[in-house]
Amino acid sequence: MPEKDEIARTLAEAHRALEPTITRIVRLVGPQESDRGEPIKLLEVNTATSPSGIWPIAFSPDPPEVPYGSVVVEVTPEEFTRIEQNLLELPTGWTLGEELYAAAS
Amino acid sequence: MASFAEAFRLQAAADLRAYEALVPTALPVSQRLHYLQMWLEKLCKAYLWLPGTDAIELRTRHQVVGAVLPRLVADRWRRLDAFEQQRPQMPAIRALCREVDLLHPQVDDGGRRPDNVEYPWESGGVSFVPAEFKFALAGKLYKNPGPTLLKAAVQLTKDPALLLG
Repeated sequence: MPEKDEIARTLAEAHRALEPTITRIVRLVGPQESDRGEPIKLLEVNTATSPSGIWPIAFSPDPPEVPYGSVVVEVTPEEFTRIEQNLLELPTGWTLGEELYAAAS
Repeated sequence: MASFAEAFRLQAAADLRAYEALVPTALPVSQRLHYLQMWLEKLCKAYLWLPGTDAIELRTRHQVVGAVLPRLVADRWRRLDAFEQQRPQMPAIRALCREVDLLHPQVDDGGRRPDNVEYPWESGGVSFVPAEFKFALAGKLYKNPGPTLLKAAVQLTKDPALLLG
């Protein structure tokens, strides 16, 4: 079975292919990240979304390609800047992890 | 007992049944759009994953359709493995979802969009009645990508396969 990190990259690529307005995808890491029951969490910066804060959207696993549940948090570029500055809070215990995609500037 | 997410989905399914019953009737368009808005809002809330957030807090949150439904449609499309053949028009879908949010009386784009499906409003000294108002959204739902959006929403409501937990 593919590793969780690899599946996260595959998911990020699929999302980016579907929405060219996504400019950045960053993995979100929780305290129980190594648990099999912990979903893959992606923070997606999308210029086409509206500023509405942190709304984690959850999806069931999609085996065999995606054997983990997944969570997507979609934010505007401005909201992402506020997250980096700790002015917009992620859910408790979640932190920014590996950058999986960044559009060429 | 239904999980929290499943409870929202089940109530969304009831609103969908009401919407489907109203569509073929001669009742004012505002009535079916009211159920459309309630259906889609509850569907979106079924997919939210907010540890520590309770039902009461979720009940009072609006503007959720524009923030959540496009992502639900996109993920469903990815699972169908069909987007290489025909990609959904995401910008247009996002615009439609935003229009659904604006049907709620508490969502008015800072006063620029007082039109809503529930309560009369005034604009330019004129009173408007939802039941007599011509909502542009009603027509847009029948033009591309309106059917794509509705089809996805119906399937997401009736088939909870995408629901986590």
